Amino acid sequence: MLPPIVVVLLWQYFYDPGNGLFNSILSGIGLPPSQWVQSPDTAMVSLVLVATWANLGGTTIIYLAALQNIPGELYEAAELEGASVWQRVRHVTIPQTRFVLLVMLLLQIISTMQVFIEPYQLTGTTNPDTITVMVLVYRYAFTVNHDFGLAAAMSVVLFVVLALFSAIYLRVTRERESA
Amino acid sequence: MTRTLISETVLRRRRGRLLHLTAVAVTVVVFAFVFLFPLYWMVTGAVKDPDELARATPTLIPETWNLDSFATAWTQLQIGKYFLNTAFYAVGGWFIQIAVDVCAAYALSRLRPWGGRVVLGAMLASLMLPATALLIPAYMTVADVPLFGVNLLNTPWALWLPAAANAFNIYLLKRFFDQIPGELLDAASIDGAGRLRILWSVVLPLSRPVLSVVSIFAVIGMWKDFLWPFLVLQDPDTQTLSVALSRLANTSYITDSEMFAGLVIASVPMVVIFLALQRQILAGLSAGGVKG
Repeated sequence: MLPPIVVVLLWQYFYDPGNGLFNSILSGIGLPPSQWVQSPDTAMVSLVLVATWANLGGTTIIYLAALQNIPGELYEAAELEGASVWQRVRHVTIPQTRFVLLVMLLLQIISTMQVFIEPYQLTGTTNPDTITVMVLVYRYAFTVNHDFGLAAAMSVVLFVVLALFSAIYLRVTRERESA
Repeated sequence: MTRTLISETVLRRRRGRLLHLTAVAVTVVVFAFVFLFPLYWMVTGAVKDPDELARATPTLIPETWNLDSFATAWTQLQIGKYFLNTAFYAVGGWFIQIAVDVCAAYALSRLRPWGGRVVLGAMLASLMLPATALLIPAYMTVADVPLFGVNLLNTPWALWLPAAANAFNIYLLKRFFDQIPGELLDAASIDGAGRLRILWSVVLPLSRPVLSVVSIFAVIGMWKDFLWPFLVLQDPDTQTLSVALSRLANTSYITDSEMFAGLVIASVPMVVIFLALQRQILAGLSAGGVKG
């Protein structure tokens, strides 16, 4: 629910290599500090962590709704057939939520491909390790080059790739609706 | 209670109940921690004084409850001004979005002008376009509006006009208007109501649920948006809270506790809206959420 920039700025403090929260925790349990967003090895992982936390609330609600929609009889039947807890998860829960899992994956891909704010704020637009398409578009159009044509061309390429995923998404949801 | 993964007979047994309770408790605690601890850190960061924040080993519970950082952030760093800017953009954007989208949806649903189907098709097709793909063309349009030749950069219109053309809202409203029984509208028109009067006195009062969902998401969207306001509001005086916070974070004018205070101030309206309107938001999420 928080504005995205709030999340990103907050995590910027956590990642502070000096006395950020994460390094304090690491040293507290006797591990060496990490450079987080400032090291090429961990920069990308750090960005993924932020984005994951930012979307945690919304996705949890959607998955919860999907889990609650599973008819209880299926578990009961599986148990009568002698299925263990893990087998019930594997053969009832996962197949029953497959549609939601797939849809969320597709939506995630579509939105993550357009990510801008995390790399912009945390690692900067010139960092070669965390360049995203939108960072590149921004750089070409609004910083040094002011090459709107090239930036727009990149957006079109991004659109074509996203359209592919949108098409899959539409197909999946249509099939579900007609079934 | 409905049957879930674990059966009640297992839960009635001692060992089963204990295992189940442990698993539930661990999940709840871990999730609550992951969700809430960063928020706790943000709020306590704002009340700690600068020395305490700068320490190598952070304090879990603040030693001081210093509310000055909120006051300095609000007045000296002009967070207050940015807050009011954002509120103004959000309310204005909401009003224009509702006015334009309701009229468009009403026209497409009830007035059925010539070529309306083509317009609707074009709008639905534009839903396929992610906002980011339109970024550059939209920016160039706002910087030099075709035919009018005006520059809207650094004005509220740069936010409001692109937001008003919201194909998804128009489609949502149109579908809702389609379901209103025609007899009601016919009855009103026999009683002498004009088309605008029908919209105002019959259609709108019946559409309260969908209007509230559209309104909530319009305000939240305006408040949270970053990339677009960041591009079109370069002048610091006109910036939204999000853009201003990002700009301040990259300068050294702001102390850490003031920054935390700014983050809290930016979050409070969203948290309040969420707590107050939880039901509508969750309904909207599950209706539109899987749509994205």
